[in-house]
Amino acid sequence: MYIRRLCLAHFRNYELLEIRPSPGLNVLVGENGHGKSNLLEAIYMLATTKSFRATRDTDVIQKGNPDAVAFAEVVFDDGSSCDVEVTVSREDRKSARINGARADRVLDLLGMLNAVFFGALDLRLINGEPSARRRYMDLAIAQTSPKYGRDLAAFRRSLDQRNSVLREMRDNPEYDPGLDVWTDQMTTHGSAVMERRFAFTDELAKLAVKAYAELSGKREKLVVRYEPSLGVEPEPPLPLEKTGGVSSVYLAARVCYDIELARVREIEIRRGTSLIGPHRDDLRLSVDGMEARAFASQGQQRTVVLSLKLAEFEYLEQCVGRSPVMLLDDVMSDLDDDRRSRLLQRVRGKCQTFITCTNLRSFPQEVLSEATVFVVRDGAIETVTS
Amino acid sequence: MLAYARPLARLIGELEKLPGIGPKSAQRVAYHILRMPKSAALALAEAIAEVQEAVRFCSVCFNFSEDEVCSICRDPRRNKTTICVVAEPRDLIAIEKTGEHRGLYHVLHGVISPQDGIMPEQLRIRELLQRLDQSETAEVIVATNPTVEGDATALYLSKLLKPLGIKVTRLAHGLPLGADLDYADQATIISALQWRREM
Ligand SMILES: Nc1ncnc2c1ncn2[C@@H]1O[C@H](COP(=O)(O)OP(=O)(O)OP(=O)(O)O)[C@@H](O)[C@H]1O
Ligand SMILES: [Mg+2]
Ligand SMILES: [Zn+2]
Repeated sequence: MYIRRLCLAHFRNYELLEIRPSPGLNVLVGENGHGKSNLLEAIYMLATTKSFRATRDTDVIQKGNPDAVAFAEVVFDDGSSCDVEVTVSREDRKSARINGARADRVLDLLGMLNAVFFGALDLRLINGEPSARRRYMDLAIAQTSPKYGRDLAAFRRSLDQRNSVLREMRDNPEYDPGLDVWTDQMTTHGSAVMERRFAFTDELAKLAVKAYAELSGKREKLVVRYEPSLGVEPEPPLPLEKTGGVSSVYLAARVCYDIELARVREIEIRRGTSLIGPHRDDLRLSVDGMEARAFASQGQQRTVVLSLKLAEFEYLEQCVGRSPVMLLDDVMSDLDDDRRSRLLQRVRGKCQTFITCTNLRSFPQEVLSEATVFVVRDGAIETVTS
Repeated sequence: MLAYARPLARLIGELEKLPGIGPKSAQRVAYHILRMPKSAALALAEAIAEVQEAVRFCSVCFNFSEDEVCSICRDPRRNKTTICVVAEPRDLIAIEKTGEHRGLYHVLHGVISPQDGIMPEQLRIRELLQRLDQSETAEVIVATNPTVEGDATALYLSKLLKPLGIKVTRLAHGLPLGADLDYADQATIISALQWRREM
């Protein structure tokens, strides 16, 4: 899939913009603070309804304007096309249009345009809290499974409700306003979340390991492991006929979740909060047997994150049967020449790619000659060469 | 701040407190009321006053009623052995409109939501238990919405009622009939898939 036309109105520092990107490689070059990342942010928002900067949605609205609109004409491999549009407003809730018709929910936009984004903030995947790695899993899985998005939302809601009950019980030891009921809700939705995370990380690990080997020229080995806070190890899934149509991974997670919760019940009440579950999961990353966060060099860390992103790309591609759009924000710094050219090699001719940079010198000439170059200057595209 | 005449500002302020009415619509409604013939405006004011005076809770099912016991609870043709439990009076209306439920109702006035301070005691659950104690109810149909809170409330009720030997059922949720799969939202399709039955 690729974006044939992209239009922005009052989005960040873009007053009005219309561009026609190439289906292949698009290079956005410009000085610091001129709007390269903003453009990627708009595309990302059309794909996920969210911004990749962890801020409020309304931050994308150009100063002094009531709303921001991003619009894209997406073309699929079979030649059909689809118009997607997101409006963020200061007055109203965020809304979406699909082929001109207003969608009931913004989330209905998910799955129309798929995109994978890589930016400087993604190094949090290695250096940051476990929540950054959960966020990565959640966004990637939700893009391929709307059901996951809903399970996750339901899990979070039941978790919040259950925490309120636990607080109540901590302050009021005689009183039980239905803890079991909320435990049941939390484990029902939480186990569904874990089931998908198992399946996802299983696939992802393979793809990421392969990508890392490729980028590093097979010199180093990456290991990716899902670490659920329950400590369950998934057995290979049993065929559905054997388990009455329910996935065996789900059942295993659920049984384990119930047992563990029964074990920590008193402690949870004493602390007034839920101590185990998907909200405490993590993803462990190591290079050549050493934890990436503590031991990997800057370039290696960048390579790990890039591998995770390339893996996410292939995962999405497998799940939805078409290539997502690749958004690479400032990836070239920190990578040595070999890794740079292997990265470009990997995306070349494979999918529509947007790469931002401050300097065209980071690109080999033969790559530039087939790319479309947009010069970004102060919220406008100055020149296009292709 | 715009300078509204004081009574107008007061009306807008009151309207804004209503559900689904923001500052803009409050202003529009207020101007509309201001331009209405005096008789129509008074009729509206009277209706508002009367609804407070004359409508109370039915002492059996806790639906809104003009009398001590509502017309459904008094109706001798209704099947006294099934009670359909709903969260809100408007849910009762929706089910009643279908004419398919011939039993009685019980209105909880909300769903359990500890986060918002709504614990089981805040709902009409104790009253439901008392009612079941004194009646020949065989089945309770729980018709709360398929949300996390609606599900939890249904589960809470079934844990409470099953030991009493009462059959507890839950409304199935799925695709609206006569609607195109095309137009159903994702949540509905997903739940219809989950609740599919063998043919
Ligand atoms: N809501 C907004 N309204 C107007 N301008 C905004 C808004 N949000 C951000 N900007 C402007 O956008 C610019 C940042 O753009 P962006 O992050 O895309 O830069 P960039 O080209 O990616 O730079 P770098 O090379 O440093 O990454 C800043 O100058 C900022 O003032
Ligand atoms: Mg930038
Ligand atoms: Zn009644």
